[in-house]
Amino acid sequence: MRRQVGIAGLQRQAREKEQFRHMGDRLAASQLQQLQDQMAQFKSSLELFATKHRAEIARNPAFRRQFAQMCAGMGVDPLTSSKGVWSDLLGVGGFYYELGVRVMELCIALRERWGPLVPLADAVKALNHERASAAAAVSEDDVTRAVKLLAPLGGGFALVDLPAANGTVAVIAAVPRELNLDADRVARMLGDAAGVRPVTAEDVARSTGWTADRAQRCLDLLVADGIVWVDTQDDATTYFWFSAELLA
Amino acid sequence: MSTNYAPPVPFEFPPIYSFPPFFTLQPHAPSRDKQVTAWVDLIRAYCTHHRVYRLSLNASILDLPLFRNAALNRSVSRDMLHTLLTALVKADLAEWTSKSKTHVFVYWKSLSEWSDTLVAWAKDNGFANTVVTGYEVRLGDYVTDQEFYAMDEAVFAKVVAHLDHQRRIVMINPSSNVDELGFKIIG
Repeated sequence: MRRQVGIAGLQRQAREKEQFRHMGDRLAASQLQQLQDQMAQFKSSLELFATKHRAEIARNPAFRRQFAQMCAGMGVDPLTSSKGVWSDLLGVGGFYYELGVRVMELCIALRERWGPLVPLADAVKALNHERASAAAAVSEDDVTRAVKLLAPLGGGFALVDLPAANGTVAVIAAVPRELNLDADRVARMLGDAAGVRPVTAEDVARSTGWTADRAQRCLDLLVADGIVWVDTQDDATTYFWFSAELLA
Repeated sequence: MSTNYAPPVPFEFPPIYSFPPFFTLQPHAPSRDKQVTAWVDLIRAYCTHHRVYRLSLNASILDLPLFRNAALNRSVSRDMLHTLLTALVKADLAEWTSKSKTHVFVYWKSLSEWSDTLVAWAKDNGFANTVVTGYEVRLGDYVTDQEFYAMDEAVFAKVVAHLDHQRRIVMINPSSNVDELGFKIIG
């Protein structure tokens, strides 16, 4: 383009700029409109879908899982939040919260039997047994989601994979207070060697750099939680073993 | 332990038997409860397998493989054994033989289960309604393949008394010597 000089040239440049801007705005507006239309359509489709299948979502674990996956893929999570457009719209948001509360109750009820570690499979079985009449089964996937939802509460509920006789077993760790960081670290050390070899207070102190007293206190805490069993048959040393429950 | 019975296959110990802390009574109560329950199950299974009718709280019993895992070099202490036998009694699987609480009868079958077994044997083998002696039933040639063969004398006397009490036998010749007992099993 030939270089324009003078007033006319400047005015034309300004005019062209203005026109481009207009064009841009129009394009943006139409795109926004399109998006809004799509969104509205999507919303109504999802709403339709959810209303139509609400009973199925509440009742069928496999279906619920697929629905949750589909929604997660689209960046919405209607099942796990009880506030917001989606759950208001769909009325399915409370599901995992309710389940979470029931998992907590269950863990407290089963503490006598399982101690602080409830195997996931047993929790699911107990939950389904408890609501056998409601005919609304829950799956391991549901319980996993519910337990993850409980995490921000800081109640010490978490899912942990523990080594077991054949591979690993998923357990809900329901320690009424949170394992303190020391105990957590030692539990990990023990978990790595579950059923294979024990640790002594000395081992713990050596590998962590703690004082003997701190290591001992931490191990005593784990014993008091039923996570660790002791073997005192050696005169000099007490051995600490990861709880036997998962081996038996 | 008093038994001359040699089981056809060796007893298979459960995995927890190879867990060293199993042989130390756990200080934490809920863990200890689980441990004692596991021991009660194990003792019952072992006594059933080896047909053990009595356990005594003395030094030699602690040499029994049941209470001593040689591979681990771990064994049950005398105090712990007392706890375990007490739990066994509480679970109706054993009975102290005397007030001194040093021996137990192990009921890996309860007295009423033994009674049913004897009556069934008599009916199935044509010994019902005829006079049999204690010796015949306990040690006779016809019972060598029976589970109750060579049953502990004292336990046998209790089973007979139980049957008598239920009127499922007619006592012909009462005796303090179980071999000389004479009775009819009503079929």
